Amino acid sequence: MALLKGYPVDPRFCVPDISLEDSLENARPFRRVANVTKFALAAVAMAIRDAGLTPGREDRSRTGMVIGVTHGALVFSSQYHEGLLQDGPEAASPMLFAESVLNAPAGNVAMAFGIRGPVHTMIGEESVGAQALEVALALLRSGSVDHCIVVGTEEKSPLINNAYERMEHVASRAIPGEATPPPGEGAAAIVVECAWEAIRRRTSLRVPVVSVRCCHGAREGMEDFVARVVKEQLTSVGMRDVKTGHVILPTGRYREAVRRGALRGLGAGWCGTSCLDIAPVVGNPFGAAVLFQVSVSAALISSGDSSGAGLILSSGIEKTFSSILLGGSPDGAEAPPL
Amino acid sequence: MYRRVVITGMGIVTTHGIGKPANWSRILAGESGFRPISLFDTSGYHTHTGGEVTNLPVAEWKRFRASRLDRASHLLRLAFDEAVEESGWAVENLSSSAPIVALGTTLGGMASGERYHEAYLRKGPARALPSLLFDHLAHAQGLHLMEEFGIPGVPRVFTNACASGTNAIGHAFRAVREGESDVAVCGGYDPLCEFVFAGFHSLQALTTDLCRPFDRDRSGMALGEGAGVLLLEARDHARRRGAAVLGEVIGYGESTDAFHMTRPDPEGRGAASAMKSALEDAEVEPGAVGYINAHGTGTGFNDAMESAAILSVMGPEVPVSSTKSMIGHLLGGAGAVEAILTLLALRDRRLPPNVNYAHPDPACALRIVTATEAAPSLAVAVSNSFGFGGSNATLVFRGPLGSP
Repeated sequence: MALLKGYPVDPRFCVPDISLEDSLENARPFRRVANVTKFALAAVAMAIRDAGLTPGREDRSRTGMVIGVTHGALVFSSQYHEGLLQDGPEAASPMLFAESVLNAPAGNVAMAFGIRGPVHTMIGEESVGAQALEVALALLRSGSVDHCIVVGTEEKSPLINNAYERMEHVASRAIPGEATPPPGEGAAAIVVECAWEAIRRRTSLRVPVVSVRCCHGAREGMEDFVARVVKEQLTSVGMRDVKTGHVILPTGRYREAVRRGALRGLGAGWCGTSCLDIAPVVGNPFGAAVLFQVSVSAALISSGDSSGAGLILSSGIEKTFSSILLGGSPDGAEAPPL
Repeated sequence: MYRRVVITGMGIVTTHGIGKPANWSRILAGESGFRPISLFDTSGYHTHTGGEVTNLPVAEWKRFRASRLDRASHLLRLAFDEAVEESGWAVENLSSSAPIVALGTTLGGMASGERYHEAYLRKGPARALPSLLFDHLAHAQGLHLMEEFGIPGVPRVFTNACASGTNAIGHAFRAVREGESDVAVCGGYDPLCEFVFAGFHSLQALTTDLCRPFDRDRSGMALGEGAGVLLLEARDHARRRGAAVLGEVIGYGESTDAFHMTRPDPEGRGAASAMKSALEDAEVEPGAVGYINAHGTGTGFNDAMESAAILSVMGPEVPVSSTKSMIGHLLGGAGAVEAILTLLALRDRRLPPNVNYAHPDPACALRIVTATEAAPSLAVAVSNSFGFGGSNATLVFRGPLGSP
């Protein structure tokens, strides 16, 4: 494709070719879907298996799904649009168009797994995974679903590389020391459910989701803003003086300011806290970032490798910010209910 | 005990004009808003018309250069301004109440994305303006709006294809009802752009004739553009500030077909499930529904599927119309604009028509409203939205209660 010659995709943080044969009983209908959809299909297959949601056993009208995406199927979109520009309307591919629509990953995953409850695609910056989790928790609270799959997915594209690299060049002159990792790709998925539902299903409870905050630091300095939000968040769940086991740093813009702000916000609880940065491993996977971070944090907590709560931070170029608190107990008490 | 959720402000932009008076009078008159598209060259297409908004005024933005913003941001802003003005709130007071902002769109500012990509291909990567790529992202328009007015938080942007606007309103409704916030700004928008037009053209979904929902001779949809914004409040909150109540959201249902990416389940099981759960949520019997603003795209598949769903849940007597026959399919904006038209029908107790309906189709054996009708006892109405990917969403509204 001409596009790829003009500006190659950064080979770092690319997902190697994946086969859906290992993930799906019938992968054939999905052989021509975009990478952003393939990643989501593979991640959801693993999450469903891990959660013990056996296909056919659960009522899938009581299963919901919320997917967070930033850019969607940009490779297909640009191929479709390039055909339109170069050869006119008759060359516009209906298949590429249908798979370019932002909820194509959600539609395909719903078909693959027979999910008939509410299915939503949320769009936003790196923190969109936290918004997806927020909406999933709202669906659980409202009683609309018994379980909800939360997914983050993203694919690399030369267009993203170009735009962010050039914006980064401008920004790195303005904000020294704020280099953002190169774009990454992939998907991660988790299953959330009310504790009583997990008990009913006799599945193991992994990690409680304590609190999710999504906000926008447009009108104040990012460090001060993050310090205030984290402090308020811990106070609101009665964990102001509880030791935080680990902090997972953002993969997007304002990483350093967020790190400093979060440590200030944690107050006395930060002493000895490990700050983990997954960006050297995954790059900046935008819409998939938060779900990657949540998966790492949940694994650390459930395996006992990290004592105390996990604080998961995310920020983006437009100064959106999210903070998720997983695990931990207020003042040594039971973890707060969902 | 759930809180009651009322509507205190509504704003609308469509091919029929800016604001409710222009839109509602033309809708009740059964006027067609389709005209030759001027936003891009349609000479290579079989279809040349759409519901384009002409002479779109550009509001003054304090924090952004208006000329830089995508058309989508301007459509959204105009609808927002009307909704806030009607609510009687100074925008500063609205912002300080920290409303939830939930918006629906299909592809956000895709026209900016097209410009970015065209420059990238024709002039090279170094000459494509990165800001265009950022403006094209579907969350950019909501962020612009919130930043402009100092509304704290992040917009919750739903992109569930043509059900997006209805999902955004439904999400906001539940959030206010369950006490997450006293106030919500919600709705949907989508501008006309060639990317989308060419896509539906390639799927052979666009009519070359008139848009005739539910008619035997229907031959496809007509695209439109616009935005709809609603201000939702907890009823007690609205009462405290003496706001006029324009209607009430009483139920919301949603489901997924899990059937096909672009085709609905022909039996309409998912659509029926969304309608049924919305009525259960509203605690109203199907017989209490006096009007359905149908999704009614004018395509063979959708209208037959929706008819099957309506017949299975509501029966054949309830009056149905699709206002898309006059303003086109606004995609992510459709659910919000149609919710507003449904609320105006409840306010005036008049049912908007489904124009161009001439020949009944046995596969759509519904009671179609072919000309504006008086409905003196209309109290409860439903608005349906269904989309690509099998998204189904239904809202149930009650008419204005008078001053709370």
